[in-house]
Amino acid sequence: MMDAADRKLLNLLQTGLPLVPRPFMEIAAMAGLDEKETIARVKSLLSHGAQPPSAVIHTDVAQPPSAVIKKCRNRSSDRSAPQTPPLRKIGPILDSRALGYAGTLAAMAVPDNKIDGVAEIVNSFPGVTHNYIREAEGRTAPYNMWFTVHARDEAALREILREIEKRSGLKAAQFDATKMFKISALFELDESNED
Amino acid sequence: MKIDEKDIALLKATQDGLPVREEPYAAVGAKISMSGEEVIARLKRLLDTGVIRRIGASLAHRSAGFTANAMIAWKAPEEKIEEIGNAFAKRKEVTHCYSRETAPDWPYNLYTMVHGKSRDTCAKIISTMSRESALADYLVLYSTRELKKISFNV
Repeated sequence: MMDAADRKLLNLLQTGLPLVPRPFMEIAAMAGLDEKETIARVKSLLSHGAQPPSAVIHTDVAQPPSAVIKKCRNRSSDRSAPQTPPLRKIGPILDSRALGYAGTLAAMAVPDNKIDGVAEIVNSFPGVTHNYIREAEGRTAPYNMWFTVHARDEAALREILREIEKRSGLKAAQFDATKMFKISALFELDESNED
Repeated sequence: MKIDEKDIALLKATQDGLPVREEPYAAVGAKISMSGEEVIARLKRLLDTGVIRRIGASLAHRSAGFTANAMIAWKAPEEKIEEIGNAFAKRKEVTHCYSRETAPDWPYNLYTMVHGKSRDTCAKIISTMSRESALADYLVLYSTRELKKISFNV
């Protein structure tokens, strides 16, 4: 179970681990904790399952920064929401493009009874980093399986998609990015004292 | 920028996560015959040049309480994409925003990811985005199953 101090730590750690010899000491100072406790808490956040905390999302810019909407706790109906630890890792997040990799978003129309089999094929490629079944709310969409794939270059990327098509017998649509406006998976957690 | 073999060795040694201990950079360095100072200097350079976006925590957003995850595919007029994309990107709840190529059966050219505590929260944000951008044609695609989620690795 996370408490307010854990959530504060997660917010600080998302912003960045300082590049100094003892980074957790700096984080501890910002969180009002000592280094030992900080390290113990971070270890626990990495290894223990936790209840979903209350999250806060700051709303429109039109409102003062203090204005927050607090949502009541909502158990996920998502099938893939086990009690996984809230913290996946602390480390460098790489920019695949800056490293010269090619990447794209791909989509397939997979019949319900074939999802597991096709997912196995798609996921078997290490370059596939995210894969989700998505349903269009209130509409029908031509695709239901959406995945991102990275490869050394464009040719290798196309080769992966061709291989997926060959092995699944289904077509994979490729939606290359023309411009990146934002990528920042930062989630601000409520630091107040309630759970 | 130029990345050398030592950078690659360092990225490989750290991309699955730094050890959580008093001196994490020195501990990583010890594994790849690099001093803690050199680890810090190289990470700083990789961060400054954009190879590393940030060095910090990756949350399992579902466990962290953000259980609704919507990808919204918008159909935006070409000449408006730049302006609308920038406006969407300014919103805190939007974690990703890209313009992308279309297909004959897929006219949507602008994508945003919105994470929230519930679908209701997401829906409110999305309708505000629609109103402010004057984009009426869009698909809200909620994830119903996570089949794979890993970090990009070298």
